[in-house]
Amino acid sequence: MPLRPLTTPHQSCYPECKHFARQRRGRRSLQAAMNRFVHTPRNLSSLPDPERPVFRVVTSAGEAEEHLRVIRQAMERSTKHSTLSGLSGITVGLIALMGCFLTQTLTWHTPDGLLWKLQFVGIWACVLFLSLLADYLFSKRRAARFGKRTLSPLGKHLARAAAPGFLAALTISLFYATHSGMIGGYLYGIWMLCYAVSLLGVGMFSVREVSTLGWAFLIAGALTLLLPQGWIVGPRAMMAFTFGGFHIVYGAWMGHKYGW
Amino acid sequence: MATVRKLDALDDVIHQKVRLGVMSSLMASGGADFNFLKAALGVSDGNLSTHLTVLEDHGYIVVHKEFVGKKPRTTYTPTAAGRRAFEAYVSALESLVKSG
Repeated sequence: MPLRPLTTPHQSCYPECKHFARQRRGRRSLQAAMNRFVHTPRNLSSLPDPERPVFRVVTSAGEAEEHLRVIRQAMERSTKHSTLSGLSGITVGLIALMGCFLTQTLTWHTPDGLLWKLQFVGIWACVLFLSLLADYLFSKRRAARFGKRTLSPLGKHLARAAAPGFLAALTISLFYATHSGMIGGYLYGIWMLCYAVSLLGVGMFSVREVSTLGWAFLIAGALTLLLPQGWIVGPRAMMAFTFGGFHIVYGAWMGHKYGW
Repeated sequence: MATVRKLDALDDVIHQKVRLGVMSSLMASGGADFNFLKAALGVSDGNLSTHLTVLEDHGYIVVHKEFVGKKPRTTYTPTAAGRRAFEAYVSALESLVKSG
């Protein structure tokens, strides 16, 4: 009996073995394709693991830039619906005018001295407190209307941006209380500059009008400091014009444009 | 023409324009109600609602329902997981733009 040759089935001459070999080769190539398929991040989502995050592939820098643009636009729109209130601006302006009037009355009726200084500091501390309170309450009211919180991350950003200017003004005011002769009437101009710094900081996270108000205060502060005192109007009149007038105009504009 | 440079895996839950807009808006404002998001993103009620549900299902936002007077109000806030996912997404996009 002749011996059968030592060949693998697919090398044999049996047609059915050739068919099985083709099937095996097909399975191997399919397996290789599946391995490639599974290792591609795009297809991780097809794996049956509920904990695995779903991924998608961004293939170009252009597409990434487009998505960054969407993010920036959405964030800008969110901050554009600002919680800054028009009524708040007008109220702050009126409080500042009241502060200027009280300071003028104080100057007429109280002789220059320690009592005058204490009353002066007291008046402007009250003005600051009432202004911040009015701003907070009106912002809270407006934020509630939009379903937002006043102390949101954005609100915290605004507070952080405003803090340096306010702290600088506070330091200078304390210095004025102890060395009033060294600053004198220049205090008002310095306050305007400090407030401008705060507004310009806040303006980076808020609507354009805030930055505009900041620049207006910066120019007014520079004029108050650099022009001779009492050249056109005195520093106290400038204080009423800026902290009172600017705020009222700003508040009316904000109320008209964004709502009260 | 944009060239294919790199395959970056990005979170597909956020990688959709409306959902990306919602997450960006919520990250900027800290939380917002339905009407605010609708106005800010300029999308329809149904579209926004669908995408908010996807984000909620994945635990990226939390929904708070309340009554203001007699009107119901639904407020959305990003969760810690949502914040992390958003920050990771932005970082991935930035690195892709820098490398591109």
